[in-house]
Amino acid sequence: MEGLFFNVNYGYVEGVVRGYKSGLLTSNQYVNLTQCDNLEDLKLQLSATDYGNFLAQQSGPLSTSIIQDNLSKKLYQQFQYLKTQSSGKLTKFLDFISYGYMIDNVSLMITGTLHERDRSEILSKCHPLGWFDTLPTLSIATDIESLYSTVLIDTPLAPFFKNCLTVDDLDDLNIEIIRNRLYKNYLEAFVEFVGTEFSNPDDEIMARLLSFEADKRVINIALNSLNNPDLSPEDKLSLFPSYGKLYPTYHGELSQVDDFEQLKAIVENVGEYKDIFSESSDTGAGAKNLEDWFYLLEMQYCKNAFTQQFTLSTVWAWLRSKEQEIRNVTWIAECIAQNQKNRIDNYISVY
Amino acid sequence: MSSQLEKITKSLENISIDPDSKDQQEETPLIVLQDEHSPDIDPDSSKLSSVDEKTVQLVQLVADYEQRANHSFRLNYINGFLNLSRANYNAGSFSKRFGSDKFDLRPYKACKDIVVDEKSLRFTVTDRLAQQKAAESKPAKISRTSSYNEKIADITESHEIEMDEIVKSRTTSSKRNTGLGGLKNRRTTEKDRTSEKDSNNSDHNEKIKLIDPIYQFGALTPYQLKQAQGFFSSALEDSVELANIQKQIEALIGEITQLQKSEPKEKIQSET
Repeated sequence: MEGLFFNVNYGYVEGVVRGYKSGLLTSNQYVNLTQCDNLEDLKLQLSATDYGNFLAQQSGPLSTSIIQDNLSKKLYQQFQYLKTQSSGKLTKFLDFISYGYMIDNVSLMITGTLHERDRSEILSKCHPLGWFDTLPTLSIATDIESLYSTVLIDTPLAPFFKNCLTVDDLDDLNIEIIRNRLYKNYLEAFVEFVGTEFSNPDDEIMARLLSFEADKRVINIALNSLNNPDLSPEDKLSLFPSYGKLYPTYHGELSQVDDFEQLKAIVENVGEYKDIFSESSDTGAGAKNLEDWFYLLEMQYCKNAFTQQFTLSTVWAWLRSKEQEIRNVTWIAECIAQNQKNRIDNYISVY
Repeated sequence: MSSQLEKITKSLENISIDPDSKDQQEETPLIVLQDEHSPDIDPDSSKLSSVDEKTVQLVQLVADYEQRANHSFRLNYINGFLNLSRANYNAGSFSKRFGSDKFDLRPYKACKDIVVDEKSLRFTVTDRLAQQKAAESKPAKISRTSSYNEKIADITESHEIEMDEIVKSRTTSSKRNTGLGGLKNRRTTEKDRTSEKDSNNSDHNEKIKLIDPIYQFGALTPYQLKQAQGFFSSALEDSVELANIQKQIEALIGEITQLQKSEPKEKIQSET
């Protein structure tokens, strides 16, 4: 029944998103990009795609950061357009998407202030999709309690701050802990929103995408904390979102892993994630393919999300696909710039 | 370095062979010297003059330099930057997560020092962080030179190695931000320098705990960043070794030119 009235409110936006999706780079276009000899060639090839003359105003020598910035600008423009055209449920959905980026920005501001960096520098590096008006005031960071009571309580992030307010000093580890706890609360709230507000098949698709996101975070936290002995298992457990295929059975064990092999053994218990560690490249341990495998799986889910009509999850799927595309092009640009074309094919392309 | 290369080639052209020697095997030293590795030459042979001995040493050093520069040094940098880009690929959704923008600008105690040996004037890199980890209770050693700090480099920074900067930073030991192959120094602070001078105050030094610079990018970083750090560490040691070899080469060139200047006079005297 969802098809009957969906288009009344959301038809235009879904149409626009599908248009954006058809502009995503295909495998053939990626192959063309990998054959470029320098960044100018790359710019030329990209001008034939949906990006058009995105570097037209750019004078002077090209660098990979400039390319990445300009690619991202295109993404932000498209997203902002969608936001201005949205209404009702869709607006809330887009707001939820932007909360994720807001959390990143908050953590960036606090870390930057702690590291005694210039405020305008930090602000220029913040994610535009996660901008909120009181963001610059976060540079008065002293401890999280005061930050919360003065600034953050008026932002949409306020409800995610439960369990995050500690009396510990703000140092790199604690900021990371706060950031991950915020994200955990945000993800749980997002899942609830999707469960209540969305109808079938939208909620099913989003639930799958969000549970994947949760599992990805859990595995990444478990994996990256192997480098850092300062994070205790209890802290780790508090950072894992209470959602996903690995919840609740495996979270306890994952918080206590000491090395990569244990992690692998636990994760392989879940069917879909069995293949993550099984492919081994010639360059060494299976961990080398872990992130690649996650991105590939995410892209497959996103591609499948477009097969259903009258869904709002296409926005999320398009956004993630576009971000992956920007990552791919940046990687290709880096390989070209460093003249290391032997690993240039390490990108993910599903369209 | 190009002017030094000219000097090396010039000195190689002026290789002298003792004209009074009757043995025909004398011609072979010239040919053997043209090989980069010449284990057959006996430096104690009376047929070789002191200039030749030094030239053999010089060629050996140049070969070492070339070997180190073109192989391990170059590969370490390539792999370091490639892993850094991969870390950015995995973690960055917007701006470069691991780059000069995220440097911690607060004063920090150096994790790596360059120590100059007084007699031989050789540079050595000492890893203070590794020492701290190995023996937590021992007080930190005091280095007599300025600290040379390590950072993860940003791809957009210059790749030029400035060897002179290392030598300068040893002699001046002032606050500097020297660029070395894209690596930036953290500024040494007054606190660091007073702690260096306070060599007897081991308690003071024990309190300053060294922090691994990788944590400035966040507590949970991808493993590629750790790998990149390892590569850059090795590249640092290579740089220092190259500086050592370069100094030895320069010293040898000086000695050779000195000997060559004095030899023609001897020849003239012997001919007259």
